[in-house]
Amino acid sequence: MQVYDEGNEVSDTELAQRNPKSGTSGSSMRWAVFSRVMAAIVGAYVLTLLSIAVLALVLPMSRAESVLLSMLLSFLIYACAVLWVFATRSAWRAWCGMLLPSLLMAAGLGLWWSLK
Amino acid sequence: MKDAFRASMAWVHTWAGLLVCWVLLLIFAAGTASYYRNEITLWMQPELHAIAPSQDSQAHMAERAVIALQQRAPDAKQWFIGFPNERSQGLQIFWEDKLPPGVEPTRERFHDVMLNPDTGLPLEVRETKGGNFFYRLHFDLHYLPVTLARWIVGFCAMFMLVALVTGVIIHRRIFKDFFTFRPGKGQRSWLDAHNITGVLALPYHLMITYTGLMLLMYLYMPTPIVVAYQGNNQAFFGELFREEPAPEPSGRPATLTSIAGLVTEAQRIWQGAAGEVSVDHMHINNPNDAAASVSLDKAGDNGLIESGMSLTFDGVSGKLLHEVDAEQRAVVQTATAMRSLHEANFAQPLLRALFFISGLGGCLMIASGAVLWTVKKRQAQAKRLASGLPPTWGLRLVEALNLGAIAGLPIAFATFFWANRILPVGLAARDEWEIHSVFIAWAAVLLLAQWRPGRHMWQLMLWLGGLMWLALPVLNAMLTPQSALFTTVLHGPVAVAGFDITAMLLGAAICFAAWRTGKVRSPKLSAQPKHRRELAETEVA
Repeated sequence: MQVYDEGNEVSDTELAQRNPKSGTSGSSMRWAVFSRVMAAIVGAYVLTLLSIAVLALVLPMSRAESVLLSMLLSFLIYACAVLWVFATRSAWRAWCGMLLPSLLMAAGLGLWWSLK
Repeated sequence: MKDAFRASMAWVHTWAGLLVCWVLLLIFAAGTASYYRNEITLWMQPELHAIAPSQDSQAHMAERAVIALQQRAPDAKQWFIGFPNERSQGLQIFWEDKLPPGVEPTRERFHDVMLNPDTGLPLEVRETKGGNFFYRLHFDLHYLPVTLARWIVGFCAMFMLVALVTGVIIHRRIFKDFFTFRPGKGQRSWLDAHNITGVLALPYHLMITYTGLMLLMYLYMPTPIVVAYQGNNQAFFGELFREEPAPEPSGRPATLTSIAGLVTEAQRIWQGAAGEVSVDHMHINNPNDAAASVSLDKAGDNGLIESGMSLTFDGVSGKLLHEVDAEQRAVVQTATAMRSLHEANFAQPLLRALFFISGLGGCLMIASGAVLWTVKKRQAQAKRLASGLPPTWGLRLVEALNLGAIAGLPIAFATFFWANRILPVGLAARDEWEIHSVFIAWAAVLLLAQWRPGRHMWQLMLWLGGLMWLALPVLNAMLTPQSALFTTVLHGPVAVAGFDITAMLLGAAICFAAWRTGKVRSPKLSAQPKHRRELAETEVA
């Protein structure tokens, strides 16, 4: 139950500061939820697509095998990213957690593309 | 603190599950039926039930198949010959038309005929899609463009994966609940039922969902092929499976080499390899062209990793062009094993039955989860309902959809088999009408459910579905007496007898559910002490 343990760590350190009902109006709650759902569906998908692209290039195997392995791992990465989006303290953090690594990887891929 | 985390995971579990549960139920049920795809096809072709398995050599069968293909499609793009095996007794020929350049390829270019392996004559069978209907339905749905359908299925499967993982996280007492069932206690029983069906086969559910996503990962997760192969899928598959790209037709006619000779040659080369030394299927590319090539794939040894051995010959000279040995690369073996796990190609009868039961468990898990949502919502709206107001539109919608999807499913699937026996054999597009009748029946139940979603409708629909399944062997015995259960039990085919028995068991189970629905009254909310209600709520949350 790896996910279970990891989840608890996240909740201990971060969710302690979260009080879901403190001073949030209904509509802003609704926005926060919608934003998180989007971060989970779209943000986590983009993150997954970029990380498996990087994996396919850096895995120390033949080209066909590293492509295959990175695709095999993709849904695991996606699922973990989705869980993190809902476990983290706020929708803002969720988006940052999806977009910052994505930007880094996109920059790396762009660099690799131009050097090729 | 832990509770906040668990609460958000419970939220994800509830909504990820609820949003896609009806489509998921369809996908799960169709996939479960697909484990017995060949057996279902056989049941639906009663004309074949009297045919004994062929004892002839594969070389002779190949010869007959080539004669049949030369008659029907001498200038096809490719031919395919599938040899009989223990789960399918016909000799299958299949060809793809050569399309003029610029013509958009459609499904119409594929043709499929079953031959009698001993005579080479087409088997006179009623037009039916058989078990392949469920197989296609499982990932292509129906009435939808294939790519769109696969994206919908992938979307639902990803929700399923997230729902499974969050389900494990919010489950406090995963081992204790394994043994807990408290029937007749309203919400608690639904929770227990959901937990038991979910936990009991959890490894199966995780495996089937992950490997299912994997089967279409080339569609959903394209970036690795984009960066490593500039998006050229064919180049990737060629390198992965060590295949030479099929040569383009030269346009010069040439006489095809003896295909029977190649079968014998392949069996000689494979002598000493693991598994039986027989051909599973063969492809003939560009038949009757100077650039013809023939490739033969070895039949597996029913292991988790298919043998993957194949030979390719020049189609004119008969010279061996290249040979693919058993797979050695770990990643490719892993992917192959995952694929085999999903499709259960390796599974012997007992294991196949276990997969089937686990699949049914998955259907029950999805259905009970969907019902649990409405039961909880009804409790939350107890005050409102007690004051005589109708349930909120969301609750009413979900209740009606549950009724239509869950109770409608057995009716719809049973209709497929009823139509197979009842529709006249000569009807035009008969196989399509078998399928239309499934969706007509299902649409009717969905409409009835929208009109009056309630306990009585549940009962009525479950009784109807259960009786339709129970009556299937009777219908079979009446309309196709030579395939009646008492004949097939004694003289085979075993698959047909198995189908009838399974239909009766399913029917009995659904009738039992209908009977229970009539008996159990939902516990009066007012009668339930407050602390117990809270207890029940925290347990899921």
